[in-house]
Amino acid sequence: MNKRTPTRILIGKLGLDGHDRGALVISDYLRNLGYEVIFSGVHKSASQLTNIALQEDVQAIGVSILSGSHIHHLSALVSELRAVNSENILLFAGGIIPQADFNELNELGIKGIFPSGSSLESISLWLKENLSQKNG
Amino acid sequence: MRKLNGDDSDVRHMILDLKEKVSEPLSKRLGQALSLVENSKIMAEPSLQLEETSSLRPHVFVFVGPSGVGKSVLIDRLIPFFLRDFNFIAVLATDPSSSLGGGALLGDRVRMSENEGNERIFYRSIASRGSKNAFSDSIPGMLEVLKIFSVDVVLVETMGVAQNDSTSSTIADTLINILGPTAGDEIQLYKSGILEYGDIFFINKSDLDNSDLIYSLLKMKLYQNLIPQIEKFPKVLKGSADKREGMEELYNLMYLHMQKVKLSKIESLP
Repeated sequence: MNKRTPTRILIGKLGLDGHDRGALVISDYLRNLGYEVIFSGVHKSASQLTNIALQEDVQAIGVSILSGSHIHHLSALVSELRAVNSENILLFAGGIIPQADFNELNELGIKGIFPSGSSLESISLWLKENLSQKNG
Repeated sequence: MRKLNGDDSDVRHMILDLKEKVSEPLSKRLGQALSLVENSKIMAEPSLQLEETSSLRPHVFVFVGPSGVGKSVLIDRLIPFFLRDFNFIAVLATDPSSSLGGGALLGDRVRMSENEGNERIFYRSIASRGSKNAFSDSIPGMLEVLKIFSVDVVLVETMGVAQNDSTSSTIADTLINILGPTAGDEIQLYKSGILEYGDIFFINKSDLDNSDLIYSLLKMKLYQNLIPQIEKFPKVLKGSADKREGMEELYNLMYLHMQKVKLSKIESLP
């Protein structure tokens, strides 16, 4: 048995985007690092993903989006989380996200952005640092 | 939130506080309450028993069967029937933690597509965290929490079980044992272990070859032990969760068994 309580992370897909390979690669990678990863499956709405995060009591949500509608869906997710006072859940996003949108996403509260081509290590390092800040 | 120090009474109070904190959504409060039990490793022993929750606990249906036999899909397909008869339903789904790194991919929820977002269903994915059973060691404690939060009925999905794993019967009011068409030949059905347990046996994927044979062999095996009392459980059914065949029949049997169990509980009251 591990002495340390594992961190729970939700990996989610929002909207009509059905491409889950990236989400599965990240899920498997984080699982190998010792995280408990809940995969939402595809085609979730922002309110469904929020409800999943609450029921599963996760510390972080990673959203994979390849449809180009990341601003729309992630704004909706942030408002849903605010509505239930759960803006303390760490948010990160990956997929086809152009650099030009980084600022807007940062302002929404999504600090970790990992466009396609990002290394897996960069994601785990970012998570490690930000989760420890959150818990510290 | 206060840090846990392993003191059971502390955890108990925090769970009751969460129940009362109605300004927050129920899914959030219950989600956090289950984490308290999971992370403090307190069990369902008297530590969690509370006078004000002395009512009968929710009925617990446990689903066992090998990995990939269709337990998650079956639960998803049964939920509409439960929604018809019950107000608040909880699903607890265990998947294995890695013995190498401790991590887990909790993927049962993916099958929940049709019922995701319904406020009358609470779904929690649970990693086994080193449990030697087919379910997480936290489940008995979690069942107590679900009782405190007035859940009516609980569906427990176990990990894909091995042949010799029969501990799931210890937490079940009704045990549903699920087999697939690849369950083997007649000799496999006569072996000791998991097939000795089950109030209801369900042969899933009945659209595939060999399921009729498994159905007949299992039915014969179970009923030849029961000839004087043929009306009693266990029962054998077949169907296909994916194609929604046999779902209502299965649900009706589950409901019937639940009523029998509840009746026997009431009769045993002082």
